[in-house]
Amino acid sequence: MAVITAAVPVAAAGRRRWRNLLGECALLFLAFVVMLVLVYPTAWIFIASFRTPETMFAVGGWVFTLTNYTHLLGSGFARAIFNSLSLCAASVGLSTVIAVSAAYVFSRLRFRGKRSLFAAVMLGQTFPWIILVTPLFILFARLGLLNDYLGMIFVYVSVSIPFSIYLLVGYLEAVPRSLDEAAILDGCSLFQVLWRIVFPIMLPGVVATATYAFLSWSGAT
Amino acid sequence: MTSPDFGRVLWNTVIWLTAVGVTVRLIAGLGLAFLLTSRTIRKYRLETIGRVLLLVPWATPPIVAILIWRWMLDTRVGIINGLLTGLGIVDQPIPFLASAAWIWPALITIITWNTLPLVTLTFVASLQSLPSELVEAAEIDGATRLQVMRYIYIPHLKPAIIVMGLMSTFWTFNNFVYVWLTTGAGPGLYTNVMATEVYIKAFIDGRLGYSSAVGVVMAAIMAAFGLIYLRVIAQRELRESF
Repeated sequence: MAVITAAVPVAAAGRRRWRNLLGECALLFLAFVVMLVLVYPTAWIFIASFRTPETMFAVGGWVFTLTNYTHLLGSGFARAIFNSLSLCAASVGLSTVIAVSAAYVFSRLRFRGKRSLFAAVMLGQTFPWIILVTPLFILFARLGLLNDYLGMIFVYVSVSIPFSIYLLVGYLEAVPRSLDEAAILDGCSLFQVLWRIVFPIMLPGVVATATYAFLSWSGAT
Repeated sequence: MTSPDFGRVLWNTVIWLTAVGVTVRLIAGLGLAFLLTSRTIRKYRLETIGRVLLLVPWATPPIVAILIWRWMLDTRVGIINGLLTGLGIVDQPIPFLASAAWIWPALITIITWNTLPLVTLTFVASLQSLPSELVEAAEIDGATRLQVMRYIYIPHLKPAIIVMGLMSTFWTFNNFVYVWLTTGAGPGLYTNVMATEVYIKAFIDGRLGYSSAVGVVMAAIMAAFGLIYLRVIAQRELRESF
């Protein structure tokens, strides 16, 4: 009798352990498949960049080559990368400075029309930018900014600012206001409070925002 | 404006691109977030690698992502058709990007793949801010998995889901790149959406007035969503100052 009562829980526990293990295996397999789907396309293009055109879609026995890269660098692509990066750095830098200042003002100061102004900026996110293409094209043609870096920076900065402000206001709300007040009592001007006190504290948030701006830039053209 | 063509464009934009696209993305993002924070993944210490790999599609620019997927979905050399015919699931390769039945699922797959990381990371961050004691306490009290999901996870994730849903709606609704580069609004004008319609009418047909009218309709629809969005974030982010 005693043997039977003892045996039943053990068997049940054993079965449960098996079922848990099976569940874990299924979950790990699922995770593996999901990760494969997420990574495969990018990995494929990375590998494809080392293939010769003839063996591009061959299943086995493809030929390793660096000619794609030597051609690329030979054709002035290095120049294009440099252009892209400098354009990008200028845009991200400018948009970050504007967004940080604006977010600080929205988060800390009280002024007339603040609510509507914030609403206007946030609604900027929802605005279908594709319909701006035509008017901007005409405007830039008149200003002589077509095919000009300045024009691109201008467009890019204005498109990325609303979302940056939204993110930064969120981060700023987490920075204690007493810090600002202490700094003001110690005689800091508003500008000093922002760039010397608040900015260093919210730097992680700023980096996250800038990263977002950088990534969205890569698809902005 | 009242032409049957425009009805198709509106249907494509609102139902396929935005409603289906955003829903698929949110559900996939939620599923993936639960997977990445699950006990098994944590037990085998796969969280970090999972999160790093998750960033790969995000760091892939849309133009590159679209090119790769177009290859993958190709009828002759595409890996997906290769797999399907190889495993004997289908006899004939499916022309994903040329048949009316498959074009939208294919497009939504591409968009979801490319935009999933941001949604997933937001949900993961939200899940991590949930104290694990809550779930443990509920389990000790005898709550089933479904109840834990219904009464603990979903209420906790609700703000993140709402904000991500609204933002995805704007991004997707206004997006021009995915549809234009994947299908060029084709075959024919089958996958034409409002953003591509604005572009086609203005720069290919030269009808700036019509194009502007479509743009105004787009802006009006988005303004309605924008007002909802504004209410949500004004409550959340600027609670103190308003």
